[in-house]
Order: sequence, then structure tokens, then C-alpha cells
Amino acid sequence: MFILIYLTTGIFLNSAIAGIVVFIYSLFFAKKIIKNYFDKQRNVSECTNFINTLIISLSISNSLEMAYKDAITKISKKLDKYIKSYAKSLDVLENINSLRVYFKSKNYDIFLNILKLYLNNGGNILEMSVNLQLELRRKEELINSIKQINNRKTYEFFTLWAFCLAILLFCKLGLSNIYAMMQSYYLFNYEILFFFGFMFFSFHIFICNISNSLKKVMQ
Amino acid sequence: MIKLKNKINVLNLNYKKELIKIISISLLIIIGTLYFAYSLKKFYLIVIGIFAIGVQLELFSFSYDKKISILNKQNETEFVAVLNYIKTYLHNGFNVYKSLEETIQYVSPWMQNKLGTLITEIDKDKSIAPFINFAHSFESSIIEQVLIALYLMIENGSNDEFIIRFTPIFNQLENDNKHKLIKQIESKFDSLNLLPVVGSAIITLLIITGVVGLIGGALNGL
Repeated sequence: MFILIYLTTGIFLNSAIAGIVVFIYSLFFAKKIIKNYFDKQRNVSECTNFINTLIISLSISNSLEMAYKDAITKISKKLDKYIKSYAKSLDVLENINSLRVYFKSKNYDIFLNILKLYLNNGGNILEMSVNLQLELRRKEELINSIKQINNRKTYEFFTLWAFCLAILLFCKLGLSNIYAMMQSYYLFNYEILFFFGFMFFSFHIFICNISNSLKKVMQ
Repeated sequence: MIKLKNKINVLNLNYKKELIKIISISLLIIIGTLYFAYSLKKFYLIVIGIFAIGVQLELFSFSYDKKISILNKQNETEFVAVLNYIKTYLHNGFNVYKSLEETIQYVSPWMQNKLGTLITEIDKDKSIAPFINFAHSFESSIIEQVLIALYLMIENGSNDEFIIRFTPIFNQLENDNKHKLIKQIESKFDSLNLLPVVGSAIITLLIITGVVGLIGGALNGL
């Protein structure tokens, strides 16, 4: 951003301030928003995998300990770290219960309820949780569709802005003499700064929108 | 103003806070208008100021409408999830009433309130009315059909065969909701993709004003 502004306005101080603002924003806000977005996606898919593996393994082995062991074999480092610090009890059911804080999902709460029913009354866990599995699949499909839209629209958005910047850079580099003359009007450089401010603002809205798109499904 | 108050209440926002927001902006417009009208001695600006306050109120009303529409869609999306929870309990031998009672702990405060009212009304009134009242909280007509199906399950017993018979309605609701949600997300992105177009317009204007300034300067011999 600093290079772009400096190249198009030639004012070092303004470019440096804008560069610092963008750097701070990217480091503290944008990074956090983007990280949250990917964390949410990972969390949902991890929760689905955990529930599915546990249910299938439980239906085959009829042993909760074995099913839990199977469910935590292929997990992320984050979940592994969580299990090692918070779910290290000897009682497997207690460990499974404590994972509700990590997954923070209503589907996981429903799963715990079904598991409780299964442990108390018996039955076929695969059969008992068929609707829950459908709901998990529905949510995952919805998230995948949203992810596809997000990727496609991000590509479109950045391509459009790239074309926009290309026009400005073409003027600066291709029509350098005329551009230099236009720069002699003091307002011109501030107008360029306004343009970059607008671009920055639009990036912020776009990032927030991507993050919010998943919230609609996560309720 | 009463309409605005109703909209604020529907959104569960603080009415006083919203009113302060509207009044402060209106005051800023009034002060600005009076200042410019007095300093420039152009009193027709006051009429523009009054018009601006009207526009401001309309904009607030429009933004509340939009928020209400988003909220309605969110509630419908939640209802689809709630329905799957209810189906899970029905499948595990619970009856409709007990399934509703169990589901209430996994839903948002808004849905909790609505489901709570539904359960209370079912206690008093064994007819279809409580289900229809609950359906009126949503815009989708398919939800009404789904609730009628749930009522029929109370009447005829909620065995698996009965659930299977209503599966097409449940699936229709899910698909309808999915399409609505995806359409909503896509339309939001489409409107955001207008921003780079506005950016190009700004650059074009910059260049035009710059070139016009140069031509003007050349004509004036500068």
C-alpha cells in the first residue's frame, strides 16, 4: 500500500502514515477476522468428523472407550492440545462432555443428549442419530456452498480492484508527463489519497462480509 | 414515528438509544443548515435542511426494514435446524410435545421465547391454533405446512411412518431455505462488487478533472 501511494502521489509522509494504518489494521483486525473465519470452518468440520466417527465406531464396537479412541486419532493440533489440557479424565463420557466447550455447537449438544439416551436405554446408536447426521451433512453442505461463493466473489473483487489500480498505474507510468502536470494541482494528490481510503474501506467491508456469511449458518 | 417504534421493538433494540441517535443527527442537520443559511444569507437552505431530516428518517426506517428482513431469514434458517432437532427426538420415541420441550434448550433466545409460547398455548388449547400462531412468526408459507404436519403428528401419533410421509415437506423447507440463504449471500457480494466499479469511476473523474484543469490552464496561458 505504501509503495502504491508513494508511487502515485509522491508524498512520503502521507504514504508512510497510510502504510502504517494499513499495516496495523492487517496485523490486528484483518488477521483476526480471517483467522476466525477459518477457525469456524475447521471447527464445524472437526465437530462433524468427531461425531460421525464416534457414532460409527460405537455402533461397531459397542464400546465408548474404543469409539472415543477412534474419534481422536485423526484430529487437529488445536483439538489435540485441548484434549490434553481439558479432557484428560479417566472417565471417557466426562471427556466427551468437556468437548462441548471446544466445539460450541448445538449439534454437539444434541449428540450428547442422544449418547446419554443410548447409554441409559440402549438401542442402535446409528439408527438413533440418523437425523442428527442428516443435519450435520446439511450444515456442512451449506458451508461448502458458502465457501465456494466466498472464493469466487473474492477472486472477482480483487480482479476488479486490480484493474482499477492498473488504470491509475498506467496513467502514472504511461502518461508520466501529463500525470506530473496534474499533480501540480495540490488537490489532485489528496483526491488520490481519498481513492486509496475508499479502497481500504471497501476491503474492510468485504472481509467483514466474508466473516458474516458463515455466521448465518452457525446459529 | 409509531411505525419506527414498532420496528425498533421488533429488532429488540433499545428504543431510547435509537431515538437519541436519530435526534442527534437531526440536530446536527438543523444546526448545520441554520449556520450555512445565516452565514451565506440563503434562507432556502432551511427547506433543504427540513427535506434532509425527512430523508434521514426514511433512511433509518429503510435500515430497520432491512435488519428485520435479515432477522426473519435468520429465524427461518434456525427453524430448519430446530426442525431437525425435533425430528431427532421424534425418531428416538419422544412425542411432539416432549420433543419441543427438549429442543428449547438448544435454540436462540428469540426461538426460545416463541417455542415457550407454543408449548404454553398447546397446554391450554389442543387445537391447531397454537401451531398456526407460531407459524405466523415466519414469512415462509412452507413453515405453516410443516407445523400443520407436526400438529397432525400429535393427533395421529408420531411414529416413523408418519415422519416419512411428511419428509417431502421437510425437505422442501430445507431446500427453500438453502436457496434463500445462498441468494442473500450472493446478492450481498454482488452489491459489494460495485465498490471497485465506484473506485474506477473515482479514478476516471480524477483524470478528467486533472485534464480539464490542464486544458483550462493552457487556455489561460498558465
